Amino acid sequence: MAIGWAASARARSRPRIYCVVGDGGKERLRRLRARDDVALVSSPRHAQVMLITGSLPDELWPSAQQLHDQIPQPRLTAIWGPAAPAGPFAGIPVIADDEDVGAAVTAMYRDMHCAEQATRPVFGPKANPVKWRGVGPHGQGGEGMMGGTPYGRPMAMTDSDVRDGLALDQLQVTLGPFLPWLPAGLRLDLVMQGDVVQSASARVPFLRQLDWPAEMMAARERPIAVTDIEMARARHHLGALSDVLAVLGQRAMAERVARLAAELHPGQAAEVRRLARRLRTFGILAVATRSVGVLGKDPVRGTGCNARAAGIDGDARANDPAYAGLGFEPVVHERGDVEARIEQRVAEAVQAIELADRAAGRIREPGPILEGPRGPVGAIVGDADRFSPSGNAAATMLEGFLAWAQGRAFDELATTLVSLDLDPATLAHSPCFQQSEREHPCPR
Amino acid sequence: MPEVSSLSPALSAIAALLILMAGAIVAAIATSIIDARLAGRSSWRAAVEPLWHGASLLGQQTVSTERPDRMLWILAPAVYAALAAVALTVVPLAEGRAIADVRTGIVVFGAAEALAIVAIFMHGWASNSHLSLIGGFRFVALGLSYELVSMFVLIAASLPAESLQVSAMVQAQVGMWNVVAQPLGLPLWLIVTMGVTFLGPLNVADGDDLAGGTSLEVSGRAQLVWQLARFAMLTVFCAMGAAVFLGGWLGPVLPGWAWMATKTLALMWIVIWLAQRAARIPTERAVALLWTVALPLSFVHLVWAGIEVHL
Repeated sequence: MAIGWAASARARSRPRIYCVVGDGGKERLRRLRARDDVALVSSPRHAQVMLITGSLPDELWPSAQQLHDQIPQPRLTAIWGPAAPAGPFAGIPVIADDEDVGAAVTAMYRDMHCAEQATRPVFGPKANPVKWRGVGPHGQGGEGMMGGTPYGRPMAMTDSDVRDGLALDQLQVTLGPFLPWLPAGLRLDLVMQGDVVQSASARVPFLRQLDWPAEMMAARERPIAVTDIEMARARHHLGALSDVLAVLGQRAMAERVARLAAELHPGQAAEVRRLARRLRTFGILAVATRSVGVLGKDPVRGTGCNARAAGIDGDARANDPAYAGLGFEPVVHERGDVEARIEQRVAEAVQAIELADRAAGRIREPGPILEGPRGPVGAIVGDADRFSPSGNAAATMLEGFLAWAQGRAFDELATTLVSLDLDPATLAHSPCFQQSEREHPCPR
Repeated sequence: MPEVSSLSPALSAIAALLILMAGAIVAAIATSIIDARLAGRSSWRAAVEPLWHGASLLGQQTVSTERPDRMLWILAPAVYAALAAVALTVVPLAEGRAIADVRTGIVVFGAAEALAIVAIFMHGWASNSHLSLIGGFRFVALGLSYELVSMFVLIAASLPAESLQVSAMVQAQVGMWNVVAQPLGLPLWLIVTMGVTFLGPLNVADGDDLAGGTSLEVSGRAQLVWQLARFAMLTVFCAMGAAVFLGGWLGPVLPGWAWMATKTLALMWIVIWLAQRAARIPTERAVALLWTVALPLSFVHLVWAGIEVHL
């Protein structure tokens, strides 16, 4: 029967997943990218499955609902995380951590097509709840026929361009909180003229769980083998690299890097080097990323990989007795652009795998400052984890990024931000967010 | 003598669209296979995946945004596909046969290429969405840059033939193909192809940093038509490249249309592989490179072609 054939043809396609990243979700996203039975997409309109990875804080549920409404029917919503969600998404299927996520999603996807299950209805209202708010007799707002916020949508208004003062239309654009290349939960408010950013500000991300490999989290409190720490570091850096490649449009190479990261074991340094050589051939990476995103030295101080990519020589492992005698020397690149950060991640991943090989059997005792995936951190001091050197450094880096973004083109913005590998959970108490945002979080 | 086909205009249009549809499906399959091989996945499954994905797009809801420009939203993929069909009419598909082999073939081709910029901007504008609009803007910035390169390359290829008619340009390659006689031509043509179909390094219109750019808000049937139109344009440009640089229907043993198909497929494979392999270049840098590197190279190429003809 024709209908049966069509449904079965649809069911055979790879499910297109839009990931909503929550607490502890980034690492899951990278594992998902490595899978070959599902495909990740960059727009909710192209997706058939909305997969919440990790757990979402309460403040982000309204945004998740809006995202859910944007996914075309027939749509599937699931959560891959430690706990079943409460609130508006209660009752959606939960994929446990020990399950094969690709197989689980594919099975649910096939059921959706073949059994023609009813799709969850939209959450949002059918009509626009925001009243028309204008000043003119025709309902227009602002000055003359332009500007204002009719229907709650900021309209373009003429203003001087930051680069040369030419007065052109400027649009207010809000990005996030679940845009793939933004740190999860972060919202960017941009004023754009064409594709050039006139001003940029950020809103607090609400995520609370540090996006760290489990081995490094544990290493702050108890003895962990150096091999485990370094392999976790290598996996993290390769995962961050796959994020950058995905934004650069190299989805196939991003998947390859993510797969290497997911299946990484000691002794694979040569394979990582080979992959890096493939990325560099014909200067593909150089022409796309050289001299893009140079923030300078001050904003990236203390942020580990990013600082070393900008020429700041400093690594907590140099003073860590667990690494003594392993021949550890911090790797440094000079330019501080996106290409340098990519090269830095590759070099540090290779170095980490080689250290893991050499340090077989060695145990690291907690106490000395740990070189985390994003910079040095001290011991846990309760909830003041965010005030650790790593946390303040991340906030400074975001402020530096927002200041740098003025006058930059949009594509440079995306590539730079994703290459910085910001952890949103460390930003919660940064002064660069509006105070009112923290107290009265607004979902839009 | 122009060889205008004996088919009526209506049948010619249908023939063009059928050829483009076939080409687009082949291109989609090629993209899927190359993507799978680069990513380390199985190519066999990837070869049929586009068909299943197309089926799933047909069954997906076509969503709408708030207050889109509905007419332009429907027109944009239609205009893009129609321009691909117009461009196809001048390309000889078999021994001396094109759908409309006019004496000013490359001018018609260039006109269709230029109007494609409008179609893509329409697509970015119509959905009334911020990121789509930026995609449209960026593409317009890039459009003129590769347009000029393409015209100089085509003019240089027409010099040996002393004619703007594409079948005459193929006929003039009996002694030596243009890819050998004018070596800069094909690389520049591949760059132009990637520009007009916004693939790979020049994917400024539908880039992943814009979460899909002009096709960000497009789903279901509309998305299927847009992607097919894009691959149709790729087919046409590869066919033109095959005709103008690789000798078109010329070749031993096989019939003319088989050689045309083989050469088009070869060029398609190369373009898709380059596109999947390369990272997207920032728009300003891409524009700068096209104007300061590609355009002077196309001048050099034109002078080279002129000298060679003269000698």
